[in-house]
Amino acid sequence: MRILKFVGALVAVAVMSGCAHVISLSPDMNKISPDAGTQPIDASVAYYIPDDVLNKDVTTPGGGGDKVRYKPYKDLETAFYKMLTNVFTHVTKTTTPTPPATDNIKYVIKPEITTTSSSPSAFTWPPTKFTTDLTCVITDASGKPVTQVTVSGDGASEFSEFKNNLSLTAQRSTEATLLKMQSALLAAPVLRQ
Amino acid sequence: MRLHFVEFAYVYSYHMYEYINYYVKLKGRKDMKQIVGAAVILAALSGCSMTAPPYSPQMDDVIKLKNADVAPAKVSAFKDAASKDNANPISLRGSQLHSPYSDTYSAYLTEALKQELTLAGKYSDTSTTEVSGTLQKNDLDTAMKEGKGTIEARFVVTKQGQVAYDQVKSAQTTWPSSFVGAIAIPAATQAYPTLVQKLMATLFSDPAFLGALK
Repeated sequence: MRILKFVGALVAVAVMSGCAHVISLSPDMNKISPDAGTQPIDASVAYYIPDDVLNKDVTTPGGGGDKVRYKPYKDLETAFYKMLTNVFTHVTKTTTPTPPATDNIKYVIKPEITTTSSSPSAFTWPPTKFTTDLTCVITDASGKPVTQVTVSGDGASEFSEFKNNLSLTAQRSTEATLLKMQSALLAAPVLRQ
Repeated sequence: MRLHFVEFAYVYSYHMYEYINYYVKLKGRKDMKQIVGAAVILAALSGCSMTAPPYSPQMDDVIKLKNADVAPAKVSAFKDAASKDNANPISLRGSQLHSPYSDTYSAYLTEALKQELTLAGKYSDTSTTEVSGTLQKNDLDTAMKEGKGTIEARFVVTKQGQVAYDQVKSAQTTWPSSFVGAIAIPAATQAYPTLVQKLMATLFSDPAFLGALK
């Protein structure tokens, strides 16, 4: 009987594994701060994320056979906007990839995000490793390509760190990615022409 | 190995506790002392402490504020109303959800409003227009099927010391919840910023509030 109970509990754990747990990729906004000593680019830009992309759900592996689920574009939209305001003097949002000339937009920036996650733990579901790849596809207001910038940021954390914040690994990754993108955009000569 | 045991107890205690509860209910085995005893131990192990995600403004509100004809304002620290509906920390099936800002949800609300105004370019520490208020209701309910969050706050705008706006705003949010604690608790945790975003959206949709900031 005792063995049956033990096996029953193990079966219950096994059955309930493989779940998708909700996490958020939003980094701490206060950490997306401007590069000290670098002059912002004097240009009016708009970022463009189509609605279907903005609401896209992504599921990647966590630990113990479980998965994590999140909305990368929705989660990162505000931090992405803040990063752009650290790079350009005027930033807005556009609902079309080719905004009208009256909007006076010099560049349209379309983000593309891909993510991976993993954990070697058999018993905890939050990922211990998370990587965010971010590409900014930059065009002019008529849709003509200007440049494309890609960066990648890793996040890692252990149980003792993420036990109070189950999204910590992902948030470290997105924070690193956005700050790398900020530096890369500021260093792109083509954007200062 | 020890770490794995702690991890196991921490993460799966809710799975096991709820499985046992379900089994006892299903089979009517109220005399299963050993199982109930194990459930109590596991429940005790699972009383963990979590931190709510940091606030992130909603871009639609930021753009709305940015384009609105309002002058920069400053935000003073919100107060907490002493009420059982104003939970701090928020209890989520035995776990405690703490605010990442000064460990109070009134500070979370203060930070949310500051971030919204700052990103919209409408925040100034030296402004004579000041937004303050009181957090009156604040709670999350991790029901089995659908979670529900409730928040209510009184917002007061003063211009050179004169009250220009004084209203109570509230918001609710729902999300798919679960019988399994390891699903329901993270889902509720992630819903908290959304709840505050909805409160902010309600406030910024009020023409009287925007009028008071002019």
